[in-house]
Order: sequence, then structure tokens, then C-alpha cells
Amino acid sequence: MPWSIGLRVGEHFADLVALNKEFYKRRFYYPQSNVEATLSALLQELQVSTVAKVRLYPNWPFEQSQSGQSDSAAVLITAGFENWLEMTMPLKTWHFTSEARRPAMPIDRDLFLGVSERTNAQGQIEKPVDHTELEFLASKLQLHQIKDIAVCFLHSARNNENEMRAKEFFETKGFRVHLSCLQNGHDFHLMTDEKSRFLSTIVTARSFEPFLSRIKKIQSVFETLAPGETNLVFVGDHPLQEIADGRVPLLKAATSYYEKLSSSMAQDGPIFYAGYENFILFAGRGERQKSWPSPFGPLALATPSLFFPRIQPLSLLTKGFISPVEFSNDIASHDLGPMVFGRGLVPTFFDLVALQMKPDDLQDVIPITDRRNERGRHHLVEQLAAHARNFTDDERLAGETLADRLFVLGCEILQDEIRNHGLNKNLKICGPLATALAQPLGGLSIIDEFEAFREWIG
Amino acid sequence: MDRLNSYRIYEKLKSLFGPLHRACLMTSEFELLYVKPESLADIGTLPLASEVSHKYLHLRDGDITITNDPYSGGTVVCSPTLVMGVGTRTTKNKSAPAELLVASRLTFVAKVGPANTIDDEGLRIPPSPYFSNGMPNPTIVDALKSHPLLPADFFPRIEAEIAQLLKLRARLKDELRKENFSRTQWRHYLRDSEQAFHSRLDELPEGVGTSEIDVSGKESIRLKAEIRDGHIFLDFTGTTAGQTLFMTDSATIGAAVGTFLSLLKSDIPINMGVLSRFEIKAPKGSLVNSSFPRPLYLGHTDGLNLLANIISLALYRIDRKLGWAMSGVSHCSLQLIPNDGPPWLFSLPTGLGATSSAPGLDSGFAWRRFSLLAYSIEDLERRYQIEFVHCGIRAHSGGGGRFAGGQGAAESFKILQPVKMSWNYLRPPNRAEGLDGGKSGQDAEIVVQSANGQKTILPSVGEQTVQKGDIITLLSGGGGGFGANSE
Repeated sequence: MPWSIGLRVGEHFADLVALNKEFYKRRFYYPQSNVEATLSALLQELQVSTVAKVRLYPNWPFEQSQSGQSDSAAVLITAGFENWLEMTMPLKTWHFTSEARRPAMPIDRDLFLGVSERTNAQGQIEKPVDHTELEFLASKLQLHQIKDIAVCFLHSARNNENEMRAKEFFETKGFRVHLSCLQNGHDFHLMTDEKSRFLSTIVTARSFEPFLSRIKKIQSVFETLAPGETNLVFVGDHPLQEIADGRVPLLKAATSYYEKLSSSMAQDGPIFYAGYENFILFAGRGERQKSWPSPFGPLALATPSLFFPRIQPLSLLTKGFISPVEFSNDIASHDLGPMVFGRGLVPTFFDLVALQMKPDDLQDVIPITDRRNERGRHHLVEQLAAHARNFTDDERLAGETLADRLFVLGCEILQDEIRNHGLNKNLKICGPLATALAQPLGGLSIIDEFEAFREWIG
Repeated sequence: MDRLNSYRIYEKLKSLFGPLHRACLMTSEFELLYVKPESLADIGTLPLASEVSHKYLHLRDGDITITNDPYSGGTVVCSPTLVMGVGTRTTKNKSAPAELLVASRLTFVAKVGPANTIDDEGLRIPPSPYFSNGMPNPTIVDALKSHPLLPADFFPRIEAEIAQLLKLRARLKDELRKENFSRTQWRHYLRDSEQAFHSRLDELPEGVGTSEIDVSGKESIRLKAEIRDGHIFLDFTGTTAGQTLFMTDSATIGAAVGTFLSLLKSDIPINMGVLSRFEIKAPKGSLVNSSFPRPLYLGHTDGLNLLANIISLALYRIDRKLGWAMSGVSHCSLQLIPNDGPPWLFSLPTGLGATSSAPGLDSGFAWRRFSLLAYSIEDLERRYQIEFVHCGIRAHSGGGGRFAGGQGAAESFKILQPVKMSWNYLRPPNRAEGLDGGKSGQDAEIVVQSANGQKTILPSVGEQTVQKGDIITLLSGGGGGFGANSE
């Protein structure tokens, strides 16, 4: 009997469920470019011989857009507004500082190209797109080896004629074109703010190529197990081809996991998703929001009502002002990983959580047990011990004591934030770190998201 | 007690005040525990508003006062401050006296343009009892309702803010009861903050630095800054009286503290512990300590940016590592006043000065954290009879240098129907200077180009009606560069 497979895949961690007569669930860690190898090995171990359907739940576009600028995507925007979005991005720090900085745009400033076109506030075309100009822009984009173009024209939600003409033109030249008027699948009531609409389009253009490329690599693992099957891979509920064609917006597909999690597990109340790569709080009860919170500003994207707490698994612990060690707003990348994995150099909240966990708690995360290195753990405690002598006037704290207290403080900060959002009543917790955090976060009930996952693929 | 616990208190305060935008917390003995500023002025004025309100109105638990009077701890009249008392020690038949004072400030659209006195800038509300025993004060509410200058959305927003404050009150009382936040703990937090700040000051060289800036040809600001014995002394003696520019002493204090802390590049709690290391002298009658009824909008907006530049320059002259070239000063505040509908205020970001290790930020707000650029071009074009021509970075406006100054902002829009317009922006004779060989940034300008092509640079203050076809261009200043350009 063919298997049904579900795979939630982040930057370095994935959850796999496999359903046949039996039900298998596994979490695994994988180096960024090599999910296929780990996946193949796992499918072999489970003796999966044929596959009927694969549902993928990747959240990459959001992570990718923050991991560096694309060199194969560009933005065509109404002339005169090339820098508008960059100017409106929030600063990285709230406090006053001589080092005020913004996050880097997903696409370099020099690849924001102005187009002489204009639609007015009433939706009338004052200046149609000019093919001569488009030809010039196309040759410039070809010179830069651009593959994906975000087209962001003012008032395109009211009248998208200019955007559609630009799309038609650039597609004949072989570019993939993403229009701001088509974000959210024609959900026009969400499009009153051009900034969120444009940002959504830009993140899509930036992430499209790497997203498809990674999905296709995963697809190739399963294709050998499902010869001849045409609609094998779905991203959430959407066939992959519909996303590749642009019929389903990429970002909508990328939120499939959160949609499913919220609708199946948060019907009665809020849930806290305690993942290895992010913590997310879902308001539940069917509440929705019109935008996705990103470091660049809100992205036009209808999603379940959610927010990302300030403390994330990889929130760094750095030199502080009052206290020698404080929680920074900066997040480490999983490329180096937490210190307990033996490679990271700066302590993170994840490290503090890991010290609270029993040695076997990470055992099911293949091959974490290989990575959870005693040397890394020792190094972490040593580093904290070095700071510990500056904490108190009286006694010197041991490194482990400091780790415990920082862990408790981190949980307290999380609890306060949850309470600020009014989500502390009937809150449940799920995710790989749920067991470690349920009690410190106020004795939360744990629910198993794998059971919901099983229903999604059944 | 230990520093981790004091850090915990700071994180707790940040979390408790998360839902508010501009706020402070102090004890009823006026020990400042926390400030969450959105402007430099907030640092000095929010505590003063709390102090004045409690001194004269003797807040009890749950009482809320209102004021926007800049001479009683306000900043500009479009930003009213609510001050709430929080107390837990109940007394017989009476609500508890306030042990803590929470101030929260809202931001409404300012009235910008010519003003001879503070009352020309809008409705001024002295500290008044607004909310008590769970209800608004009908006398105050009726008085406000009847005033023609009251913003249309005043009451809904005040009500929403009061609801937030009352939630915060419940949380604070809960924390006090659980002893998560006791008097002993916050005293240690203040002590640890002071010690940490003292340690940071000890890393700086002692010395004296001076700076002087010409504001308008008739007014100037003079500053002598000194770091000595773990303290910072800022003396504005020699500053002239204001003629076009006026600030209150509390706003000046806010600018001084905020600017200095920004140079340390850390998230430093603003509380009495840290403030105890500052000594600031702003002579009465000088433009940095103006008295009623001087108008204050320009001083408390562009003026504080100018003050921050002067302070940075003086501190740079003590320690070059503190170097932060001047940032663009003027936000080019310009208001459209349609016949129907609310006015709209443009207020541009500026180019930030470069430092010894990095270029300045393009089109940023060095000293504001409002969501002023949260507006939508499409929405504005729908609501007002204008069409934007350009919104972006003002090219080549930052000063050159080894590290270039940040570029200012440029916004141009066409008028589609005649509309009244007023403006008020600072045009000091000197541009935002570079440091250490870096070049100055460009000046701010507001230009009106009429339909026949004639261009006029607007003076620093005025009002006029613009016609259909006119194009208004706002160009904010660029920041100064740092270091000589090797090329």
C-alpha cells in the first residue's frame, strides 16, 4: 500500500510523518543543502517503497528573505519611488543610538528600477507603460542575469492594466514576473497599503527561485518512489505546479503549516509553538490578521493571527549593560548552531533550554545526538561561569546556576509577552521544545502537533 | 541582590510598558524608574508631567490627570499626557494613595505654521483631573468638547489609552502583590543602573569640550561639556535668548541625556540611577530654558535635533571615539489644510551623520521613533487632492568623507485642487557639519514650483494657499561625513 508523507521543513530542522498501515513520526536535523540525503536515508530506514502523496510545509521564503540579498531578482517600481520602501523600513533598534540601522532589503537598492508609468488614485491610467522603455529595462535585467521580477506600480490594486502589460512583456523575454496586484490571490481588500503589497511581492520574487529549487530537490527524492505520478507533491493543499505557475501565491503556500496548525489545534484557544527554529504564538479561535510581521515591515498576507515573541530559540546572550549577560535582539543562524551542538560560539536561549533537558530528549532528532556534543555543553557552561563572577557583590555564581537563572528569566520574558497579548488564558503548547518549556511557562498543557499532522496527510 | 535581578526588573518594565508608546514610570517620591521615549523631549518631559500632576493634584490609585501644557511637562500641545496613580495600600473608605505614577503620551496631528505664542499652536490643557472613581470628569470633558481646536479623534483615542493604562495598573498591582517588583528590588535596580553607567563613564577620558552654533544670525546656542569624576556636566551658559527658537528646560534635559546615551550605543535604562550622573545647566531666559508663553513646536522638533548635534560635537571634542557627525536638522514640517477633512502633516526623515566606523543612515529619524512614515502614498492620494511625483532618498545630499553622511529625503507632490498650506522648519545658517575632515550635508529646503515653472524657496515659517498644478518639494538635510575622503 503506498505511503502518504508529510514533511514540515525549516532551514535546518524538519518533521516527517509517514502514514501507511502504521504511523511514523520523526524530527531530524539536516545541513542546509542536504535535506535530500537525510530524507532518503530516513525513507529507506522506514522501508517506504511507494508513495501516493507528499505534502510539504516549508517556511523558507520568510527565512530566506532575511538571509541575504538575491542576485537574481529585481524590482520594477513606478519611477520616482525607487527608495520609498527602504525609507519606510523600521530601524533595528528602538533605543536612540548613533548606530541606527535598518535590515537589508531582500533585493539590492541598485536593482530597484523605475518605470515611467502612472495610475492615479481614481484608477485612471495617466501614463501607460512604454515598450521602448521596457525593452531597455529588459536588456539591463538580462545583463544582470535576473530571473525573477517584482512589478510594483502605484494604484495597481485599483487598476492593474500597467502591471499586466509589463507582465506580458517580460514573460515573453523569459523572465518570471510577480505582480503586486496579484498578491493574496486577488484579495483586494487587503491591498490598501502599497508598502505591504510591494514588500510581499518583493519577498516573493527574492525567494521564488531558491524555493522552487529546494522543493524540486525534495520532489526528486519521492519521484523515484512514485513513478508516473503527476500530482505527487503538494505544498500544503496546493499542487506544486500551481505555485510554480503563479496561480497560488508563494507566500500563501509558505504559510500552509501555520494555517493548518492554527485551524486544527487552536480552535478553542491560543497555542504556543515551541519549535527548534522559531517560537510562534497563535491567537487561535479563528482570528485572522491582514499582514505577516517581517523585519522589513508588514507583508500583505492574510494569515491566522500570530506573533513572534522577542525571545526566540536562537536569541543570543551577549554582553549587557546592567547585567554582564543579557538577551540580545539579535538571532544566531543555525549554520553555526547553538553551542550545545559543538560549533556555536555565542550562547543562545536554545542552549539554556538544552541544559534543562534530559540527555535523551533530543534523541529522536536524527542526527542531533551526534551533534549534541559534550564539549559544546562544557564550553557553554565555562563561558557562563566566566561571566558569573560579575553578577553579584556577594557570592560567585556557578555557571550552571547562571544558566538556570537565565533560563528562568527568558521564560519570564516570554510569559510577560504572552500576557501582554492577552493570550495567557487556556494557552497550550506544542512543538519539539514543548516538554522543556511547558512547566516554566506556567504549567501549560502539551498537545502533540504530530497528531494533527497525521490528519492533514491522511 | 544581584545584577541579574536588576536586569530582570528592566526586562519586566519593558514588557509591562510594551503596549504603550511614550511612557514613564516613577514612584510617588519622584524616583524615576523607567522611560520609554519616542522623542528626545520625552526623556525630560514625561517625568516632569508626572511630578507636576502629582504635586498639584495628589493622585490616588486609579486617578488619571491630563495635560499637554509644555510648561508643565508637556512637549508640544498636540501631544497630551495622561498621568495615572497606582497604589495598593488601601485606607478606610478611600482609595489608596498613589505609590507609583505612570505617564503615557499620545501623538495627534500638530498645528504647524506661524505662532507668536504657545496658544497659537493649539488648545493648551493645564494639568487637570480627567478620570477618577472609574469615570471621566464631566466638567473637564465638557470644557474640552466645546473647544474648536480639539482634534476630532480626541476622545476615542483618550478612552483607548485610558483602557490600556487601567490594564497596566492591574498588572502593576499584581506584580507588586507577588513581590516580583518591590521597593527593595527597584532600589537595587536603580543602584545597579547607576553603577553600570558609572563604569561606562570610567571608560571615557575626562575632559572638556565646547561647541557653539548660530541658529539664525540673531540667536546662538553655546555649550560647555565636561566629563569628570564619573559625571557629565553640560552647561549652556552663554546661550542667547530665543527669538525664533524656544525650548523648555525639561526638553533640553531630555535632549542632553538622550544624545549622550545614544553615543554609548547600548540599550541603557533611563532611570534616576543613570540620570543622577548628569548635571545640566540651562540658564533661565535662554532659548534652552524658555518661559511661557513662547511657542515651542519648532524648538521641540527641529530645535532638539540641532541641540543634539551641538551636544555630540562638544562630546566629540572630549573623546574622538564618541564622534558622530551632525545629522540633518530639519524635518520640513509642512501641513495641508483642506476645507473638508483633517489636516495632513508632512515630516521628513533626514540624513544621519556618519561616525568614525560607519556611514550615516539615509533618510532616517535619529531622534524619533514614531511611525511617521507609516503613511501610504496611495491612501494619501485618495484622501487629499494631491499626486506624488517623487518619494525617496535625496541623492548626493550627504556630506562626503571616509564615511559618508546619510542622505536626506525628498518628497514632491502636485496639487490637484487649491489648498491652504502652512509650514515651520529650521533653516540654520550652518549645514550639518562633518567631523575630522568629513564634508557637510546639504541644507533643508521647501520649494514651491508654480504651474508656470517659477520656483520659490519658502522661508522658515509661513502659510499660503497653493493652486492646482503647483508642485511642492520637500528636501530634508543630509548628514555630515566623517574623516577625509582618501580619494
